[in-house]
Amino acid sequence: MEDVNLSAIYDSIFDNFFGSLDGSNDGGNGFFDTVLINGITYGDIVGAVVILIGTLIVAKIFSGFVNRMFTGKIEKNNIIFMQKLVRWITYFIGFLVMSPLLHIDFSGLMVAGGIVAVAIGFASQNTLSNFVAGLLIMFERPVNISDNIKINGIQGYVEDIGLMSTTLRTYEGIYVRVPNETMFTSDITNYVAHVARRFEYLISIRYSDDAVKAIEVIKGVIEKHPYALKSPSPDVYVDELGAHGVNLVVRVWSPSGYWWDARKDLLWKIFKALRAVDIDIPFEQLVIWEGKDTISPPDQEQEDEFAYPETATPPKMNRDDAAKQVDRG
Amino acid sequence: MPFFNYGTFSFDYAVNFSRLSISIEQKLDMYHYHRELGKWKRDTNVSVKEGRMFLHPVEPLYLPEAVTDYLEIRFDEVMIEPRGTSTLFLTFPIEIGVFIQASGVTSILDVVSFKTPKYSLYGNANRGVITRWYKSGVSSYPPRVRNYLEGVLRLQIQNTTDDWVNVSRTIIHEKGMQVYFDEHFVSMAAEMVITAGGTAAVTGVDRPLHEGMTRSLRMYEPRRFTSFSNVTGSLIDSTFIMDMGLT
Repeated sequence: MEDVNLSAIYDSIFDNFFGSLDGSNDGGNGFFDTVLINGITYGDIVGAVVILIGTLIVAKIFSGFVNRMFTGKIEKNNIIFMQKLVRWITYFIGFLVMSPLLHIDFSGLMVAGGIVAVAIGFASQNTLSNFVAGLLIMFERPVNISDNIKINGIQGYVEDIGLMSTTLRTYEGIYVRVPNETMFTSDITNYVAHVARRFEYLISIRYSDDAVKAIEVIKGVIEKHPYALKSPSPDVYVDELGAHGVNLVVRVWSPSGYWWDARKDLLWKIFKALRAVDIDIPFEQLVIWEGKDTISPPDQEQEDEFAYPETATPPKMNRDDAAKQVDRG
Repeated sequence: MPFFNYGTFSFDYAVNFSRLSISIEQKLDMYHYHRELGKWKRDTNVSVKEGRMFLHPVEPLYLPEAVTDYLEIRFDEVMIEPRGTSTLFLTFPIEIGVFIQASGVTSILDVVSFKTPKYSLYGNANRGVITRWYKSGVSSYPPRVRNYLEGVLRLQIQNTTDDWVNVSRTIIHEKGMQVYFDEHFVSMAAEMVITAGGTAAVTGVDRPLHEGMTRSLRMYEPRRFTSFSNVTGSLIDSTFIMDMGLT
C-alpha cells in the first residue's frame, strides 16, 4: 500500500489558502483562486454558499414578517400562500445574485425570456390586476371576514378575502366569488363597519287611537329591549296623517352585530303592546260622500289642545264655497 | 334583607333563592346541571367524576351575550372642584357566574342575572364603543344593596384641571374589573382621573371594599377581534380614555 503523505497535502492547502490572503504565494493565486470546474474557483463557491445562506435567512425573515403583518387580517391559507410567494421571490433574487459566481450566462435566455414574458403578461393581465387589487384590499381593509356587506347588488357575509378573489355567503347560503378587481372598483356597503346602526319601522294606527299613548307604549317596549341602545335614544313620532291611518315612525339604534335580531324581535313586541291597550293597525277604508251636504268639522267636544286660537276662528265652509274660493285664488 | 350565598360548594349544593334555582344532580354516570330563573332555564349534562362548584359574581358583561367589554355607569351629575378629589359609591348590576372545577381546572358553566341588561353607545357610531349601560344612584358612603341585584363600585375621581368639572358617567373596561364579595357585599373599585374638561382616564383597581372579602373568579378573556373593541387609542392596558364627554 502506497504511503500517503498527509502532512504534505495539509501544507499545500494551508499555503494556498493563507498565501492568497497575504499574497505570499507565487503569482497571487491562493486557495480562493484555485479553479475547481469550468472556471469556477473555490472563492466563487464560498461566495455562492454565503449568498445562499444569506438568501435563506432573508427569506425566513420576510416570511415571518408577512406572517406577523397579515395574521388576524386574512385567512391562514392565504398567509401561507403569501409566505411561500415571498420566499420563492427571495430565492429567485438570491439565485440571480449568485449566478455570476457560478458563471451562469442568461444572455441566451434573454430573447426567449422576453417573448415569453410578453405573452405571459398579456395572458395574466386580469390575474395580475386581481392580485394587486387583493393586496390593496388587504391594506385598505374596507371589509373584514364575517362582515355583512353589499356589493354589486349582492348581500351577504364575507367568508374569505383571497389574493385573487373575495368569497361571500349570501343570506340564502349561496357561495359567491367576487374578483378582487371588482371588489376594489365597486361601491361596497359594509353594514357592520361602525359599531352601531339605526333601523326604523313605519307603524300605522287608527285615527280613533291616541297617538300620544301609542308613542308612550312603543317607547316603553323599546326601553325594555337590551339591544335597543339607550344612547342614541330611540325616536318615535307621528310622521304622516295617511289615507287610512296615522303613520308613526319608530327609529332605533342597535349594536351593528345585533340589529337584525333587535329588529325582528321588537316589531312583534310593539304590536302586542299596542294591542294590549286597544291601539290597532287600521284597515284600509274609503268613505264615499255624495250630494251637497255640508262637510262637518270634527265634533267640538272631541277636539283636543290643538284648537284654533279664538282670534282666528275659521269659517265653516261647504264644498261649493271652497270651490269658489279656489277659483278666486 | 336576604343575601345570596356566594362561594365554593360541592355538587350536592342546591340553590333556591327568590325565583332562582340551581342544582347539579347525578344521573347514572353523568351529572345534570339545571338552572331556572322564572321562565329562563338552562340544562347541561356534565361528565365529571368529582368536582366543585363556584357561585361567584362576575363582570356584568356577559348577558344576554358578550357584546362589549365596557361597563358604563350613569349617575346624577356631580360637580368636582378644581384640583379636587372625590370618592363616590355607585352601584353596578350583578351577573352570577356558575363555575365547575375538576382536576384543578375551572370552567364557566352558566351565567345568570336578576337584572335586565341594556346597552348604549358612548361617542358616535364611527369612533365610539358599545357599552353595557346601568343607571346608578350616587352616594358618599357604601349604599345598602341586595347582593344578588347590585354591587358597590367605589369610584375615586380626581380632577387635575383648574376648572370645575361635571361628571355623570364612568366607563370601565373589563380588563380592569376585579370583583370581590363577602356575605353582604359585592364590590369593585375604579379610579377616574379627569385630565381635561371632557376627558378622563378610567382604570379598574384591584381593591376590595373592605378587608376580608374574597376575589371572584374572572370571565375576562381578551376579545381582540370583536367589532366592539377595536377602537384604537381608547384603551391603554386596562385604562379607558373617555374622550367623548363625561356627562
